[in-house]
Amino acid sequence: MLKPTKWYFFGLVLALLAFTGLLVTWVHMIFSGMHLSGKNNPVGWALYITNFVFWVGIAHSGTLISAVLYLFRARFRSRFNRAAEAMTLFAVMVAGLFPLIHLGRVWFFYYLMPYPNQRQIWPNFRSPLVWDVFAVSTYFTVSVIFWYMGLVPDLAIARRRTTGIARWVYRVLSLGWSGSSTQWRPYNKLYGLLACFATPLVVSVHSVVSWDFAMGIVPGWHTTIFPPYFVAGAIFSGCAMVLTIMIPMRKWFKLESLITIEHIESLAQMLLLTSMIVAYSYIIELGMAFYSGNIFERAQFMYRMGGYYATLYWIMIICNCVIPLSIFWRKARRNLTWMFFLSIFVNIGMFLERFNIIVQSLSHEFEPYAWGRYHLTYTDVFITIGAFGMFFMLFLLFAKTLPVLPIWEVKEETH
Amino acid sequence: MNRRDFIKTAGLTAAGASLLPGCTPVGDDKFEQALYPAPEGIIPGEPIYLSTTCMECPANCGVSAKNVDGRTIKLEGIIGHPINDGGLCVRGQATITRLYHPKRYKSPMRRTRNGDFDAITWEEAYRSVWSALQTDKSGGRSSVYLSSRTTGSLSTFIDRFCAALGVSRLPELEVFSHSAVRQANQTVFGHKAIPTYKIDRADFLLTVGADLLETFVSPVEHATKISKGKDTGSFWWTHVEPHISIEAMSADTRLACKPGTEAVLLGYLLQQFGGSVSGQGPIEASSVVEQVGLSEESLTKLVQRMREARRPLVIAGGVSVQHEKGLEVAVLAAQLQKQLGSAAEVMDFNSAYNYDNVGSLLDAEVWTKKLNAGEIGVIFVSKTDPALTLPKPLGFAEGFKKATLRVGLSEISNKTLDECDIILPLSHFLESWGDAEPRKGLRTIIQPTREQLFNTKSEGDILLDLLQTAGKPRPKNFRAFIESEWARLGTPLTPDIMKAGFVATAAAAAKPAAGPATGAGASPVAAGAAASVAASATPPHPAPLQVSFADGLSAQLEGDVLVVTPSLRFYDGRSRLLPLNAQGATLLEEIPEPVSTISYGEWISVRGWQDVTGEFVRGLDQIEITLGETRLQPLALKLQPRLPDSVYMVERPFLVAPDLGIDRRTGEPISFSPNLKWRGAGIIPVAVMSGSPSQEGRGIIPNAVETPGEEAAAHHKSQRMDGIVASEPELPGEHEERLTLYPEHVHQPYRWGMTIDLDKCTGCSACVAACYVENNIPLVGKDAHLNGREMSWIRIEPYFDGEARGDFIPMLCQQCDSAPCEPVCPVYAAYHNPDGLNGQIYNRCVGTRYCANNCPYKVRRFNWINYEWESPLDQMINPEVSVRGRGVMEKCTFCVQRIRAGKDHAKDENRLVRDGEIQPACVQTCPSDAIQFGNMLDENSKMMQARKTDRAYRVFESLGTEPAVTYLADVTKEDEVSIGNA
Repeated sequence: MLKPTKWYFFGLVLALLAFTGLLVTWVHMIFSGMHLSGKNNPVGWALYITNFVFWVGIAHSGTLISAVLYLFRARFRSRFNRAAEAMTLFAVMVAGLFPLIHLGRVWFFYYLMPYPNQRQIWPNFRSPLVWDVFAVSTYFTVSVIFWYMGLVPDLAIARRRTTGIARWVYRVLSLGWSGSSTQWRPYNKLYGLLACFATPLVVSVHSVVSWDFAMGIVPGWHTTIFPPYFVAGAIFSGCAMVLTIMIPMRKWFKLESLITIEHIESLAQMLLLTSMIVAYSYIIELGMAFYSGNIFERAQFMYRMGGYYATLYWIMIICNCVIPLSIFWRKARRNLTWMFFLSIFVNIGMFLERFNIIVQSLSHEFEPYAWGRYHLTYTDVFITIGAFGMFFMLFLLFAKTLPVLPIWEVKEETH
Repeated sequence: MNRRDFIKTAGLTAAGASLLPGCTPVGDDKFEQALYPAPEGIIPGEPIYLSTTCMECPANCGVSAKNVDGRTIKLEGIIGHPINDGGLCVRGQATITRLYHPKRYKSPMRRTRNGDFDAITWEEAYRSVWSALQTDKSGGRSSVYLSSRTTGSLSTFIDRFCAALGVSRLPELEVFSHSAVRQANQTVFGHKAIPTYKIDRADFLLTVGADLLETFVSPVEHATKISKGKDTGSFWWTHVEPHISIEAMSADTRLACKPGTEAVLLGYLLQQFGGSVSGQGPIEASSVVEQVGLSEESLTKLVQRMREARRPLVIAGGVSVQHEKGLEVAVLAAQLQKQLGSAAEVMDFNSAYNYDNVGSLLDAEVWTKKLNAGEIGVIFVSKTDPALTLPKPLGFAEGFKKATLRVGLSEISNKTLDECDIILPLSHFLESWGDAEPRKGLRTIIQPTREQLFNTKSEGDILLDLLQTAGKPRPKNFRAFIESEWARLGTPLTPDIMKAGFVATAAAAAKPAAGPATGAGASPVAAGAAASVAASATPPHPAPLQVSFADGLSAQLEGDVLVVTPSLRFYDGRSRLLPLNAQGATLLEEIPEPVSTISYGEWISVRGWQDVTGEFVRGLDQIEITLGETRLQPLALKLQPRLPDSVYMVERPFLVAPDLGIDRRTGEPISFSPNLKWRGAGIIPVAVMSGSPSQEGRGIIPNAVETPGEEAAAHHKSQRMDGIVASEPELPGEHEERLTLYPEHVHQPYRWGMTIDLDKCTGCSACVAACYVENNIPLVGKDAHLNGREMSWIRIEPYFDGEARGDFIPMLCQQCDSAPCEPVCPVYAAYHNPDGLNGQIYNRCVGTRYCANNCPYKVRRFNWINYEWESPLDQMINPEVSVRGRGVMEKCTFCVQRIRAGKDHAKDENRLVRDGEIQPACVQTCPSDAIQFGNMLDENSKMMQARKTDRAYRVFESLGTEPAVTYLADVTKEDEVSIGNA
């Protein structure tokens, strides 16, 4: 609970401005029409769904680090898990916004929910979009509970260190935590149980998201490799985002003693592994396109590699498959500056991956007459920047008000 | 606050919240309408059909206007009409937007000093005109009346009006006057007329330049007859032209000749059939090959086909008679026809088209000279736009300014009307009385199909009022005049005639060379201008032109040649209306020109292969062309596959007063400009709707893939229309049997399906226009088209594949049985209805656009914004079809409203729907009868019968979507482009 510096406020204001930009452009679009985004007839989904998949992917590493690594008792986990869980939460919040933003009639978004009504109309449970609704909302609920459970002992610590209204808030939130062994025993049980519960979500949520595409017949979407490919990609981008956030945070909050180079290294190795899975998926995708003899699929991948958006495809390959190979080199993975930039590259690469899958596939489908292109508009750009704004705004607020490291776990480990 | 107050406040707030949205004007009209009693004889919501005549172009098709609640909302061709037999073209379908055009003249107007127009009363307008006419008389100036082609009672009445007021009537102005053809027919057959071509009786059709399906005399009639000819099973159509058009893409054989060389080919053919070409020695095949640019093989084939044919028909026209040797082309074609011996069987001069009053550009030259000399005082300009169509050297624009009073009669402004002093607003033909006589022996009625929208009058009534202002005797009104005329001609207007819309009278056998000549329509032949032509200079009965061919047969057009073509969508420019709405849209521009697929914009086509990376807006360089003295406005450059080398193609309406010259012998406009000079500069965006000129071997049109013969054969071999099991899976072709988790759809007793015959489809786009009007599809304008947000539910896709061929396919929702769009909709807005249609529930749709992404045919359309229907356009809304709001998906419904109506009707009579009882708008209007619609569960339906051919296939069969639309492949295509293959 350090006094915030002016840089903190500068960052917060910047993030807030970006988020306001999102809200203003979105409201404008709601009142004016979807023509403000650059979509058109063949390209019905573009930057908003790209954002959705990207942010859901970011969310993944949080659960992975906190739940899966908890179960595996990976020691480096404790340094990242609070921030990673918060990241999950905020990323899911951002992601959840995009299916709404991209709706033509967002004021009827509740049609997607199964709610009893006199017309007895239910959502179409065969539609992957309905699966999305369940997957994302489940994920959000579980993430919130898991995150909050981890916070309770720390909130109790915070309660001791604050005064006035803040103290009152922390007291309420800490649910009367006293740290007695009668509390710790069930707490550990519950935490482990929740970790078990959250773990399958790492696989399921992004699998469901990938079905949005894999269940379609669009060439470039309709492949069985998508679920594992998306999950690996999600963990990949998530780890990168954790690095992007933790490396500066470590410096600013002076956490060098707690988050050591070794911790960063472990995360980097994780990044390398998933990078290679992703690269393998790209190869498989191409292999299937050419081996299957399906002319539509083949044309789609020729288009990706040599068509209008080919530059984006190759940037994606370089960012996701080539640059991360430097992690093999010990010196590079222990160089924080390099790791920071690498994580940025991976973020860019993974954003482009989603863009390529969505936009390129749609612009070069079955019907040659209907081929067409998507072009960015200001609305799309503002909304995308706003998404980052929203994410960082939430994260900065979190860093100010709640412990960014799980104090009790760090204590547990160090004692 | 106590409990009662709380409940009061809460109640008030809730009531307020629910009432406020109700105060917006949405739906007010409907509410009011329900309050007023319906006009007598009209049952609210029940359509009535009124027969009338389409006056959008000189073809005068019979149309049946659908009127619901006093509003005319749709035109359909009259079934059984001698001209169009149920069909209607793209312009005819779109003419309703002229009726409801928000920028129509709403009252008489007078031009003010600063060039604006002020509304005046009819009285004031008449008085101004009358006093100017009197001034003319005293001042020694002549007053003239210029109109486009008029026939029937109106023509008679204009004569009467002119006689009574001392106005001289100018020969009617039509750029497409077909005067070369008429003169050739006079020379060869002794009739200065255009006969009715009995294409359906012919078994071989050779067209030379004649754009039969676009603007040539009677396009719908020709399309109908070609289709009937194809039904006979022995019909072959060979089309020769220097450029590429929908005729070139629809004919069985397309021969592209070098510009200006048609006469060489015709001379050769004439000699092959024993005729002689005066002044020319024997024409060798090799010299034809060299000069015309055809291969020896296709020449032999052509001759052989003509030999085998029993009733061959040769029609020359269009651009092929609009060059220096145009008359030779027309005369040789006529001589060839005569030589072939089938003329009497396939040409009917007894029912010749009524072009007697139509003058040529030579006539226009005479009166524009007078205009420029200041000899003309009052000039009436009725429904024509000489400022656009007359060549610049005639000096119409300058001369027009010298007239003392320019009186314009039109529904809507154009270039000429903008310069007029007095505007007399015309009623649209759908709101006025009249009649027409498109050809001898056929009189059709024009009757109002709705109330007047504005303070306008029909041309007849205006002239009648002017007679009254002048104190001359006059009939009570124009309707009374028509009735008296019909009575005089022995066919009083009975309710039966009014219902049928036309009456076919026994035409007196036309006497050769005795057709009434035009008023001033004799073609003054400048001495020396054409030494080979001798014409008697005694109007009104000029002797036939004697044509000698000693000067050679080729027009010798060197270098890059510009061809100015007629326009399928705009005719000579008259159908190109002002923008209709805030998006700057018009219906005809919303529909892409089928060969180039350009919707909005002005362009020049040049041979080339469009980039296949799939872009709407081709980079399209800007091109500046200099013709004679004038530099054209910059035009976009469109790369057009299959266009012969060094041929540049531009549509006539894009050129204002094109300066290409006049044929001194025929008065036809010259449509070619050799040695074209051009320079490129900058970029002009035009909306090219096609993402790729090639189908990339995807089998969308199976016979048009790279190896047409084998592929088509293989395709047809493996084709099975029950569509479940494939003997030999291949791509594109059959799909394997699939397992499904879901029960099969049960359809009983209907499953609607469609069969589209690509052999008959000509790409004329009438279906597209009909669909727009029937289904209230918004007109979205150029910007939306540039962004790829067109809304058409049906589109014509051209593909140019293989060695040298091009073909059209209409693409619309395939109403798949196993539709990819249905399972992905999260809210059941896309659902499968019991009749097998892919329904779309607009008010359930939330706009995820997943269905559109998942549609392999890409026929779903998203409403990106709310499109306004500016008054009075809102009156053309079909009340049986929802107007979709922002954020919802829409698509072809097979005109579910018509299916609904048909089923209800059948249910009332306690029976099933009869075959052919329900016709979607596209099926109804198709001039070629290429589309069949019916019940797939009824094996005997016409639609199912049509499928029983080895030509039947479905698009993307391998995807397993089980479409309800079956296409019949066109397997007869031959194609030769003269100079290299694109």
